[in-house]
Amino acid sequence: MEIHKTSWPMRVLVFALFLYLLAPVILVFPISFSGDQVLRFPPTFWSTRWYAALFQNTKMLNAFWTSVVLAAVVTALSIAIAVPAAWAMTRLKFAGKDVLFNLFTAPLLLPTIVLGLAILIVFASFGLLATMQGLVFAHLVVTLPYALRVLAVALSTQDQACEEAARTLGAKPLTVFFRVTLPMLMPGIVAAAALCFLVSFDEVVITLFLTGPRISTLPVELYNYVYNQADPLVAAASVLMILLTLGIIMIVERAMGLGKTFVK
Amino acid sequence: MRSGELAVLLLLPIAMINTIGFILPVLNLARLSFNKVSLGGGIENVFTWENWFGLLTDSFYLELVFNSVWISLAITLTTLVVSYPIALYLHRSSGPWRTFLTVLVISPLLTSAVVRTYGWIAILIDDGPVVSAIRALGLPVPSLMFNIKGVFIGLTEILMPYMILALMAGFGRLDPRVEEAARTLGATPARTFSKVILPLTLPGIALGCLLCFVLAVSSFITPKLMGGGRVFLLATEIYDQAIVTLNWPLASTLSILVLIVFGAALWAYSVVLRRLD
Amino acid sequence: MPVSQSAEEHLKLDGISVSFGAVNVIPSLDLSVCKGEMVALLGPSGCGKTTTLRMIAGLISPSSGRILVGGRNITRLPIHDRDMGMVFQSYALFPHMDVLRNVQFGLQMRNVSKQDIEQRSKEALELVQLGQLAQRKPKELSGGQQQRVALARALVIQPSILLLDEPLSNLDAKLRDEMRLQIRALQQQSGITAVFVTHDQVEALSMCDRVVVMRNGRIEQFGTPTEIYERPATAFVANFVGRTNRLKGTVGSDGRLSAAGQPLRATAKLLPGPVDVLVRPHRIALKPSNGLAAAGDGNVVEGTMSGIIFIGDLVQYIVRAGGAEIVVEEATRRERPSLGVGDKVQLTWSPDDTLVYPDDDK
Repeated sequence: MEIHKTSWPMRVLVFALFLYLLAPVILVFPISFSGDQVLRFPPTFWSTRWYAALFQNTKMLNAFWTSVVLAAVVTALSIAIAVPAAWAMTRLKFAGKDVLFNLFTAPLLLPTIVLGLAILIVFASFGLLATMQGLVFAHLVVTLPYALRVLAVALSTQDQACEEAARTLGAKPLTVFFRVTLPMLMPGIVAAAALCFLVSFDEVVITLFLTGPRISTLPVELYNYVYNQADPLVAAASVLMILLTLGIIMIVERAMGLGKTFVK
Repeated sequence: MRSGELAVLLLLPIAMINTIGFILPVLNLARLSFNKVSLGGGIENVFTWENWFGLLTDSFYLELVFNSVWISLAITLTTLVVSYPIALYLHRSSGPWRTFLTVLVISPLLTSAVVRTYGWIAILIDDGPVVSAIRALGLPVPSLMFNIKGVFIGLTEILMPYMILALMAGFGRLDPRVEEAARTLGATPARTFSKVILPLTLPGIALGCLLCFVLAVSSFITPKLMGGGRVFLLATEIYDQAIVTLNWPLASTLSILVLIVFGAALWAYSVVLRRLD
Repeated sequence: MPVSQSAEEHLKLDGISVSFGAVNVIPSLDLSVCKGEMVALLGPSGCGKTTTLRMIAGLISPSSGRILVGGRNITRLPIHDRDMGMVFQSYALFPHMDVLRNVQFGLQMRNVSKQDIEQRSKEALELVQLGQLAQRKPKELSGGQQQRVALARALVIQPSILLLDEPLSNLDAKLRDEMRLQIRALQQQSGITAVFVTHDQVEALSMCDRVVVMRNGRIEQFGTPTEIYERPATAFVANFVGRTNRLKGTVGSDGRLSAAGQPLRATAKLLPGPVDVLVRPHRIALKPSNGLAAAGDGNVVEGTMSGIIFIGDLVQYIVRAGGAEIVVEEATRRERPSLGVGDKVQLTWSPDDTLVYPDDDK
């Protein structure tokens, strides 16, 4: 295909645009090893002092553990709630299915700033502000639509003849679900879980409305930190966050291949 | 158990969370936009058009809405221009190279907006690499931080992955053989682009623009951190009214206004799509 | 091998009808299958053959009517209690289990003892010559191997009826021929009653004791492969099974048949009116015209050669006669008759091969 050979100017342009796209993510790596007291690039000398500072910052460490626990709980609950829901959506016949599906995935369409405010106002009257329960509930509102969508697609593309085969072989409905449907759904569950974990772990706008001095998550703490002083400590924390994300993606990649999960 | 009863049972948890965490709060938001703050700071449960009336007569808020929409539109168009070449290049590449580049495009999406905004602060601050480079060239030094320029540059980059993915989804209709046909029929590369490639990719462009506009209007982290308190947009104002001023009725009214802007964008998108068909 | 008339009835569909919403897919169906026989449900797509099979399995409920197996009414019996062995078009092997576990699944559902499960699953795999692949996952097998696992999985539970849904349609032509023989051999060895859904007449005729030809949810004909081929009950069956020439003709009030501008004879009883006359291409003999009317009681048609198509095993002659086009097929021989386009030719065939049906205007 001769005419599709990209010309040199085009290649240079694409390279420059890629550089623009990736610059902020790439840059935090060298900055995290800065020895300078303030944010400066390139740093005048290198050190690991900001990593040391990060691991002595109890506020950040607490926020990190809150984020991990929160994301883990939210992920587990999302899967436990979304698997039965997705199964009902794809295997049962009932009226109003499309309306319900749209309603359950609608929170994704709402800007997080609006959703955050809306949840803040309602949770204030329930006394759920700055509590773990409140954060879990609010995160579920945004992770469940992702989980439901991924799992419903996985279930509807599954070869249903396998379930029929199991039934003709004598398996009762519950046995069919646990011995055939669920194991076959495993790649979808891994993908949905990874997505939920990442969404919850990275969620900042809604969380910003619901956290306080008593409880805070890592992205919110980072936001507050950058808002007040943008020194290289944030770069060190960012590097760790990026590495954690990469780790999760690699687990998913192992389980099923990245292409299938995120490139659809 | 009948199929309907089983469905109710299985959908009950998600329906509860959806109702308490989404439907009720949003309805409450709409109601609140017609309430007002009492003198004691509480919310008076009366029906009033005060918020809406105040909003539409106050020049500060009118300017705020106007600015937000214009800046978002400008950012959307810029994002389109810088994303299109990447999307086209990705569409034409193949094999592991394509997979690798696609992962590069998606990877910023998996990085927190706070982290990426921080990265831009590092690049654009007064002694940062960009300003230093401009100074080295002997050009007048612009101030890129804590004003709308920085927000513009940062937000454009943050929205790029969405635009690229939307464009690539739209490029599905672009069969390389159509281009080849145009070339064999004597079209120059420039005419092939304007007469064949661009028209065929318009649906993808429309989708990407809708997505980016909606995300730009509601963006909060980047304007807040890079604007340095000097850039006022709808989203930052909602947050300030809700958390700093504690005027929830006004914050609610602004939120509903954002939703109205969303509705307008969706309407414009559907009109464009109908034209394209 | 036709089953003798005295054979015991095993599966009976009695006044079955099926509707999907407002669409009546099967208006009314009666069918009776004898013990140990293999019956094909043959027809074009959408004729209701797969629906019928899925209904026997219990995957679809009939709107009315009864399904009886060995005299027992199973119409309302849940699928898992029906004791059917089904082979699916996509094979539907469990992707997360290896071959052995796939085969053992049905036995585990039946609370068979551990030792029996081990032994019977091994035997079943040996039966389909897959003993050495027991630890493989389905996706590591070829199409033919997957097919055999599906067969072993359905047979190992010793079901009362084996149901096969287009089991060969995903295989390439050569493998299909092989599997046809193997499936038939396995079915006859185990003496199991089998219902086989296919749209391929070769599969239906070559494998099955009897064939049901279906169209639009109705049975057009139910008979042995020879009956279906030699004495098709309707023009649809004649057209669907094997190749035919179709000539427009009429039966006069005197009962005389004519088509292609010639008087013809047929063995069937004729009613006056417009008719379709069907003749299979290879039942027609062709020779250069000698200008004489042929003697005997065969049908004779004079015509002009208008085309010769060489297909390999066959050669097709296209002959124009009395405004109609008649195709004649002959096996190719090394010495081919010296006939050319434009030559006058004479076609002859027996009245027994002249199939006449009322004109159904299609």
